[in-house]
Amino acid sequence: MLKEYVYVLILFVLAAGLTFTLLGLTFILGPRRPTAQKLAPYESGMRDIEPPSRRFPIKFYVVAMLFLLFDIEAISFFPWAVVLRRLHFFGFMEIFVFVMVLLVGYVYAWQKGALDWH
Amino acid sequence: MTIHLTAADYGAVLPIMIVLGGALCLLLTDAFVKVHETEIATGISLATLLLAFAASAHLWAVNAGPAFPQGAGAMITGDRFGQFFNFALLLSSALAILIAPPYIRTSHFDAGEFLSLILFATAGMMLMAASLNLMVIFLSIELLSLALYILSGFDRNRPRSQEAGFKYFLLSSFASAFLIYGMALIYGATGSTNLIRIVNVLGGHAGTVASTHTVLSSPFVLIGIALMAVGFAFKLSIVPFHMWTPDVYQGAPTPVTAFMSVATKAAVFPAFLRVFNLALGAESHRWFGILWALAIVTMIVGNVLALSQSSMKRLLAYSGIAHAGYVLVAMSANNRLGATAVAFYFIVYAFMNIGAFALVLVLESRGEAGDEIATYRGLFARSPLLAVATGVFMFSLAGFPPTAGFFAKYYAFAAAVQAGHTELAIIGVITSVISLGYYLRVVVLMFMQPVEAGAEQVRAGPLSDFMLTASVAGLFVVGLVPWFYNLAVQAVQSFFHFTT
Amino acid sequence: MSSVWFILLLPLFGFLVLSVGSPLPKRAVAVLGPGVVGVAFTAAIVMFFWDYGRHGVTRDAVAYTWIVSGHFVVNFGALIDPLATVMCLIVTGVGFLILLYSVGYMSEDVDFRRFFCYMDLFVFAMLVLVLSDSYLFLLVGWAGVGLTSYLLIGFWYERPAAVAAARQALVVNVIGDWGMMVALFILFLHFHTLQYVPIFKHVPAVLGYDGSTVRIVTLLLLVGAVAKSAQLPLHVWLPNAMEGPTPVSALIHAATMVTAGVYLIARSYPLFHSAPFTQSVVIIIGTCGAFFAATCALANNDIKRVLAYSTMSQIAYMFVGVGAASYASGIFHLTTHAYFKACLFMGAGAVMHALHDNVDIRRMGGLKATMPVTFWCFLIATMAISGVPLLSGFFSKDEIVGSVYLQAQHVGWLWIIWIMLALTAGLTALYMFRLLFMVFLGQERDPELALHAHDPPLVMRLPMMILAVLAVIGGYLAFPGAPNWIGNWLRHSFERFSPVAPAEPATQWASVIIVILTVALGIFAAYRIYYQRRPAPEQVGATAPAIYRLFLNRWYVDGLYDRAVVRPIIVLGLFLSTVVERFVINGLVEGSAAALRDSSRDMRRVQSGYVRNYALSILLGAVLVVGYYVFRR
Repeated sequence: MLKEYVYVLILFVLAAGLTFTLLGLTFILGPRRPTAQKLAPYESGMRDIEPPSRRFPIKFYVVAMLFLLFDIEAISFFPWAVVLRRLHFFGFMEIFVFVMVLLVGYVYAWQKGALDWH
Repeated sequence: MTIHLTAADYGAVLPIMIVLGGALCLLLTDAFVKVHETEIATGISLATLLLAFAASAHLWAVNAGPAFPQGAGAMITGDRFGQFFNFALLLSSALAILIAPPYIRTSHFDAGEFLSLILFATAGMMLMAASLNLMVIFLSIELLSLALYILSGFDRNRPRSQEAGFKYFLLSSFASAFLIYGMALIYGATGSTNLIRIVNVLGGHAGTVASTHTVLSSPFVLIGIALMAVGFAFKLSIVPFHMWTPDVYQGAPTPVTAFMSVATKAAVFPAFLRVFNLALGAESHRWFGILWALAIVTMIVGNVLALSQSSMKRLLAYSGIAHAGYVLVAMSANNRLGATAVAFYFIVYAFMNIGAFALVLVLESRGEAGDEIATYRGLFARSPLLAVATGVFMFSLAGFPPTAGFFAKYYAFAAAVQAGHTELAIIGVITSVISLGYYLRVVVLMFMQPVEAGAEQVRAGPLSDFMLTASVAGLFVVGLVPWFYNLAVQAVQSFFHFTT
Repeated sequence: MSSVWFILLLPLFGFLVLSVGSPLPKRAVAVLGPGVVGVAFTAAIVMFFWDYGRHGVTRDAVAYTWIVSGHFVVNFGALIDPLATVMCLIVTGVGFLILLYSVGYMSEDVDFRRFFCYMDLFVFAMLVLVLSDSYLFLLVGWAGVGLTSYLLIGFWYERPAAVAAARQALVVNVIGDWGMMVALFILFLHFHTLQYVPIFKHVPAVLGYDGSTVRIVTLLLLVGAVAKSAQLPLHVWLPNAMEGPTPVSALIHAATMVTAGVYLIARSYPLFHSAPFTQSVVIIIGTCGAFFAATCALANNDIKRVLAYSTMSQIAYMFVGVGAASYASGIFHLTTHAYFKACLFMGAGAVMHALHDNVDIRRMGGLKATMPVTFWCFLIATMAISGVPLLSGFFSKDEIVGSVYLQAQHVGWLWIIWIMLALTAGLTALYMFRLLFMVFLGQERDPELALHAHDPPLVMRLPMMILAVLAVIGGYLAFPGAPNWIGNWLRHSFERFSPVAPAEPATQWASVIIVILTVALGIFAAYRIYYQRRPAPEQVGATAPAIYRLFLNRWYVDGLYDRAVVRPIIVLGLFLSTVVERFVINGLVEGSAAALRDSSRDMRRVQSGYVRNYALSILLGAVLVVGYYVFRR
């Protein structure tokens, strides 16, 4: 029964072995001459003048999320359109409900000011 | 491919649709209504729940047997078993909403947003209780979880709340991965995500004996069972997947805690039952060991840890863990009485647990300190009604007759005994005795300790008063009137129709 | 839904409302407390006239099945037969009158609401006791009346004597409950049920006639009955129970609860029928109790305690009645006794009200002038209890004595019983008229005390008068010679499970005449001693000091119990609490509690608050669960 696991085990061993071998080799073979510049978080480019974790407007996220939602809406129209003839009235009602739900969300987002930049 | 949907098909989803429709209405309310928003939103949500309840009751009346509108390949069912849990879910949702308005006002929440999220979660839970397909189970678990993540972190001004939401989100996603992995493995082994088909494949109804044997001995099935158990266990806060529970319960807004402490379990347990007792019911010897061990560990750890809590919400969180253990005992019995006990438990649990949280809510209005158990000192003198109600909840949680809590526990343990696992019942009773240590501590503080100097009278709002009275009455009525238990018995009949 | 559920639930409703209704105004309490019982009484009358017409004389009404667990089924159901109906009418009817009286009697008490709350609870428990169709709920009611009796005896909890009396009553009753419970266990072992009907149907088949099992069961039931009805040797609590408010004494310790023992024996008659030995024991206990209590009443100087001993004595008569298989006569005496004894207690309460709660009859006298209504009611009730011809007590007592007389024709030793009963009838007349003369007639002994004596207000007078009327006419339910109405009706209950109907004896004129003579002698003696001679308080009992002291000290039974039972138990209790409790129990209990607490605290540390630790826990759990499958085979 455990035979099936043997291949998995071999894969595990190979992956782990390769990783440790490569890391170990660089650790042993690589020359090390640390300087202040080398130990800085960002070795190249400009010197940082303020901590990177600053605040920036959350509106980016909101817009991105709304975009995603409508993107998915548009995508789901395609398969629906392909089989619309065969789905008849049922298909129409389904997409109607779908659009209505989306519409409520849209109106809600609008009223809540998600579309205003300021 | 032509899809014919009958009235029965729409009927089966009608309660869920009503709740979703109500939630959408609430969103619009939030967008347009500017005055008396809390009152209007509360009214709409309660009306929605009432309507859904009526629809569910209608479904109950028309569907006596196994009800799957699309035949055996159905995604969901409108059977009585699902409806019974719908009752419990709608009840806990309504009870939570009844206590919410004062909290909404003091915390400056958007009432429509808040309540619509509760309704979305309720809809997801109802879908879960009705699902007959692993995919629907996963879908609904995500639907309810998404709403609950947001609700847990809803109080943006309180870091604890945000922490709760985020923790819940991270850990729950982690656990969902296990669940979906397990489902994938089961699908791989049986070739279907439909529970009825899985029964047929595993139970040998369709395949030959030989093929059944091969399928069953496949490691896919076994590991699938194990991983799904992990996923469900997380949602049910079963030890050792419980650690999120106290933090989230404590941090989340109290009405949300009250709601999720009961409703999440009332949604996940029926799905858990459908997967394990129905789809994998014939294979109980392959999963019993796991649930047996989990139930024992859960009962012990939940009750022992509750002893040393100083925060009422954390105490109730651990008590919730312990109660999940008791229900797990009933479930692992894998018999008719066990399924009945699980169903009956949640009607009772809704009353007593949400009732207990309602009291937390009232005292919490005095700030974070209100959550400390020490605040309950001498409560009887400050507010007799609240103290008596809390006393009843505590006695019921501890399982004293003649409160309904006793009967719920009794049936759960009786199921284990019937299945020949007396040891589970014995451990259950012993840990229940341990639980007296913390439930009665609250009672003693309330009734037998003098009031602190300068403590003012405590008053709940009229809705909360109504809710508390109804819960206390409910606990006695459900315990003493056998009608409710008979309802659970009927519900379970439809559940076992699938296999017989 | 038949009216029986109304009867049962109304007092419960009253209790529930009163128990939470602290803001209720006094007037509302005064209406609600007696009101629910009054409506229940109406419902009982409706049940009696209308329900019976439709359903026949006996029926079982199952309210619902409470617990079904395998073969163990608990139904709550009512067995409605003539016996239950009679008890139900007494409990609600007399109960209503007494509650009405209490409105006046308790009007000055600060705990007005609590009083009615307890009283309604008592009525409910008593109704559960008499209406239940199984021993299980009989026991529930049995314990319920015990509890409410405890609460009501100790109603004035700031009085040490009241608290001590309540505790004593509870302890004695627990002895009885123990007997009951063991009896029920044995019954359940043999019958696999506690419902009356299946048990009674199969008594001869399962237990046989005069077998040792049925003997033990009935004797254990008798322990319960004796404790509840304050019979020898478990009678000590009843006189002390007079520390409670007087309406409580009237309702619980005279009219209803203490007669539960009689009810139990009458209800269990198929068992007692199969155990002639126990029947004899019942008769002997009853006879000795009747005589003993009468002598105690003769010497006691506390108005309520005299009545308490007379209660004990009269219940002893009922015991003889049911012990001699003359059930209807026992229940008949129970009925008439409820009327006149409640009336007597009401009168005593009125006197106490008038005399600032003084209970010593040596300081009373001449109250007839100031309290005429009370006097006349008291007189009628006294005549009734003494067995003066043509009043109710005469008929019911004579029926009991007559049935013993009839059976004595065949069983020799019953002659002794009969003689003692006849003698006790005379003693009854003597001590009751002694009470009457000392309290109401002659000169007032303490003019200062009786300065403001007056009749009670209407709300107290009315129930007293109604009961006095009933004490007169109550006896005509079984007029000698005429159709024995109550006997014929009750027979339906007592014929159901026994092929041979116990014959209700025809009136035994010889016995009747002798009893009348002893009663007349008793009254005459009381007249001579306590009316004409009127001894001063310190002269009482001077003629026969030894016997007097024996009676006064209740035959030293209380003292004996105190030395032989109470004190050793206290010593044992001290030993247990100081040595065993401290070192053994506490060590075990607190040790395990501390261990749990500590482990709880240790386990708490795992709950660090870090998401990474939580996720690790989930992962470990998942590994364990999956590992279970991998390594299981």
